[in-house]
Amino acid sequence: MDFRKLPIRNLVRRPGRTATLVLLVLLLSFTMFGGALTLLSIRGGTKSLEGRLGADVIVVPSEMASKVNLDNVLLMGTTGSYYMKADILDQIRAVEGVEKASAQLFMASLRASCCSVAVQVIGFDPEEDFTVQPWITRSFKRGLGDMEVLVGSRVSTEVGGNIRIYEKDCRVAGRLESTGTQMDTAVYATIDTVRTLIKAAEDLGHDLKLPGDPSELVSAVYVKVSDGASADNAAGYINGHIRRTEAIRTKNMLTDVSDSMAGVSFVMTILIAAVWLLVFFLILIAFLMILRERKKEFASLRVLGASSGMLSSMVFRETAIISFTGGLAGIALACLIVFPFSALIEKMLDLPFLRPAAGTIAGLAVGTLVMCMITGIIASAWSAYKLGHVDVSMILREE
Amino acid sequence: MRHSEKRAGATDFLLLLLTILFPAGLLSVFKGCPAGEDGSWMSCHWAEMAVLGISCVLLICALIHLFVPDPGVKTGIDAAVIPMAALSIFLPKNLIRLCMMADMRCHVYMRPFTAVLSALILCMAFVDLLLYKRK
Repeated sequence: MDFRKLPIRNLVRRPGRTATLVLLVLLLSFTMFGGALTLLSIRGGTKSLEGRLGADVIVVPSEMASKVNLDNVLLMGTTGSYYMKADILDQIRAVEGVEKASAQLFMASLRASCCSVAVQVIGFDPEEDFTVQPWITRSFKRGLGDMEVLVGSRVSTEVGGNIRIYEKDCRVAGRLESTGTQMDTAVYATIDTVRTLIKAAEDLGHDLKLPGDPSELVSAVYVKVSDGASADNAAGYINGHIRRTEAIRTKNMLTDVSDSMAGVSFVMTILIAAVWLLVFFLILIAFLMILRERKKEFASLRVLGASSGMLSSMVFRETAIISFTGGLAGIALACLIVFPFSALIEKMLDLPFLRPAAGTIAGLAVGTLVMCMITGIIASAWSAYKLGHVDVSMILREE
Repeated sequence: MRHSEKRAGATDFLLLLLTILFPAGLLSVFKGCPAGEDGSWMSCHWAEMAVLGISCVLLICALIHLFVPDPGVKTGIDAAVIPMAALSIFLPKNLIRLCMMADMRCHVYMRPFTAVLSALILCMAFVDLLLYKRK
């Protein structure tokens, strides 16, 4: 009898019992790996958002501020179409403490050549912009020409091809890095290009409800205050003195996103801890029951010359095989759900979602596997200890 | 029952369950983008139709697999299911283009569902093939 092959033979001979134990570990590993991966992705998305949002204050038309959730609109990238007079930019620049101010013009196209949903077009001033431009510079080095656009990482169109918006062909000059927000599905162009597209929409008979000539309109002004100046004071001054505008502190918005993230994080941590405890006790009980059921088998092995240490080692090896298989299957299942459905998860959580680097994911998988094996081995330790104290003659005499 | 004939095992039923879920999901929760305002369909619709066709063929294969007792026929069906499931993984986006925006239904619901279900069917057919070959 080859004692080394015995654990595998035991497991194969009782497929029902083995499958139940593997399923328990699978549940643990799936929850741990899937939960941690989701949390890391949300954290990565929020970090990317914080890093990219260079403005201290965002100024938008006041009627727009009362209509929609500004956190979603300005942080998640669903910008919409709303307009105010462009001369507001000069008024904002004149406010004390304002170091930089840059305007952006938004347009949600009703129908682009690609899709049945609105395509968000964001126009920025390459000379003045300090919010989109630093992010763009990382993947696109030259200046953006007229009727040229840059597409977010999740717009599946080829660089060098065309995207047709309101019967106007725009050349796709480059693709931007992923941010984990809905900014990744937007199209970026110069303000002049967006004005041309707005004009094209009007020529086609679409009523964009513009409050004036497109060349005199902007959608939002991003403000950076100088060192030592108070962003709250600047926002307060703009709200009090510049009519029909609403100035919002970006820090407050990020706090809201962080609060949501903390809530999700708390729920996930509780869930992982609860599943861990549940699985730990279930494995513990399962092994104690198995020990009772296999008492005669262990006693016979002792009679055949196996030491108590050999029996304990056999139990540990069986546990290690079950934990490894269940852990690996749980990780595979989590990958099969979290990776393909990441866009759906992002949509449901309504939080920025940026997948961590491959190295981090691999580290997380190894950590989960180790944790599963440790849990299984600890849970079976009591059974292994009891095996060392089995009274062989008593057990064999029982029947 | 002839010696070579085996009764249906757990993998036969799991394969059938997955192949029922596949077209059912595509026709309900996980369907692709709707038609445009003018009634025209985008390319993702044709990808969806192609995957739906494959999923129906997979369902028929799983039914035959369940009811035919001959292990030789069963392994043959498994061997046919594996490349079909692999094809349906690559069909949307790689062979038939989907919509341009990654937040559209075809990218968010249809493609991930197709990938996950096809991968599960492929794995199940592979496991079943190994089990029946051993028998």
